[in-house]
Amino acid sequence: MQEAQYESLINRFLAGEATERESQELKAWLQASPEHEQVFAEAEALWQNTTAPEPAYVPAFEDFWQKIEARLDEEEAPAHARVIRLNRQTAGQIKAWVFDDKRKLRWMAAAAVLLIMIGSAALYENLVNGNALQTCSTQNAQRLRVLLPDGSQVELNAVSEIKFSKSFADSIRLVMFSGHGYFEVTPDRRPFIVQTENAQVRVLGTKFDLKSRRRKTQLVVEEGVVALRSAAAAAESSVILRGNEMSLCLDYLPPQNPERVNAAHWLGWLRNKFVFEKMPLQEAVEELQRFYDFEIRLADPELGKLTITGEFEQEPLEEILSVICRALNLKYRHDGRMYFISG
Amino acid sequence: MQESASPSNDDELTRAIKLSDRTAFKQLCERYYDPLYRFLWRKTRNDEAAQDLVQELFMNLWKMRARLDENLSIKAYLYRAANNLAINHLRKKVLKQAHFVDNLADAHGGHSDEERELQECFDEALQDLPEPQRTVFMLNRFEGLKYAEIAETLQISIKTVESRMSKTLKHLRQKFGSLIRAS
Repeated sequence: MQEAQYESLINRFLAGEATERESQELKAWLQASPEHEQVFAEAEALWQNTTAPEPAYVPAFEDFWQKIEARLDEEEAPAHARVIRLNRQTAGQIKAWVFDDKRKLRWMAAAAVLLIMIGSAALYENLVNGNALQTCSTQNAQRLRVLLPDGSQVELNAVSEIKFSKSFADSIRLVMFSGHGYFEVTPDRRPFIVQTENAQVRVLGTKFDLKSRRRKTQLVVEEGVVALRSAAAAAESSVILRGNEMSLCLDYLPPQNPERVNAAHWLGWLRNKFVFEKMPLQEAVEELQRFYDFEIRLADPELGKLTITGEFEQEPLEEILSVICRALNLKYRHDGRMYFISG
Repeated sequence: MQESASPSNDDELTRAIKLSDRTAFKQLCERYYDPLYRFLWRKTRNDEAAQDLVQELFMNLWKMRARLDENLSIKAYLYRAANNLAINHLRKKVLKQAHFVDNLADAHGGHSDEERELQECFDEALQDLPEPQRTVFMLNRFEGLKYAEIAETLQISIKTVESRMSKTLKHLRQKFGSLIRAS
């Protein structure tokens, strides 16, 4: 055996990488001559004598984990979430979940009339009583899949947020939601309630797509039975939706009559497909912005009212804009991380 | 809370963490905190740095959890990320050779003077090596990673791992052939 070969063999053996066959080969080579044994002994000594340097101490795991948990909680739950009994007769401040200026869910004083009613005080207490809250959110060009305490799953599209208590209550499964998500709810005797800024969705076990931005909550059911109602206090009417049906709530008006749709169309985003069906350009542009994390500006806001219909699948943003502009007889210009569309 | 058998192997933990499961995340931290802390300390030779970096390492993992690939080893991911954090940290600090050597004395406490001297010389010899070679050796000898795991961690071929290992061993043999008396 050549020098390089036996060196390599010895190295592999000492590193614990030698195969059965290689070990046998090495043994045979060692037995062949005392010189070989000497060479091996020296290599082995070198190996044995090189021990790993160790730190004088390793900080306890519990201390480490405490710091991590504090940071996780900071990112997620609001700093001062405390329940003050929701009682319409109580003088003084009532705290509730409201959507602030940036359309983010915040726990704050609801002195204004804009109080989200979700049926009863008991529900609020169920949400926050004792259990810390978990928040999951996405930014532009982000996607996140979240597992809820009952095994249900939600896929969050870009710029979306979901809040829920770490273990659902005994009588109800409640989440607060804003943005766009696909829900797969496990069947359970407890109703599953999604509270958005302007509406409330109530299900037992089903699959549906929910888009709630700027006080427009749009619901498309893939499978199962879902009830949709407005968040307005006086709302009596709720609408029942089944598979391949769509309805929406605008502001605090009651939900519109269900419309038959092809649910698969609306779920295109799960597979990175854009499906625009008579969508105002303004909305389409916002969707594209969220997905690609580019800014797209319209020279004239009036252009936003033009509608487009089409399907795009994982194409570069430029190509999509090019097709849209051709269809609407518009022009686009590219500048760094921005696109400008003009007439 | 969901009543299911608690996940035990790395792949199951990865899948659960992708779904924002905090319990699984804590389990992963429990499993890898100690070895990764030691690895970061060996690279930086600084208690404070190791503590900061180990925090950053696991927080980054949580922040990027949506992008985790459950088909790839999370162990390799952690070592790769830790390695990068350590390299960036060292680049920022200007490490004078003498200053570094001062810290070495503490690293091998508990041995005889002779052994300690040997270890210090060994440490110095290791520092002489270029970064890629040194890292491969450390991951194998100190962190106990197999060649295949090292290849995945550093995104190189197994052949490259072998060749760097042998260069390192050759270098050490040349420096220490005389110092080490074979029994």
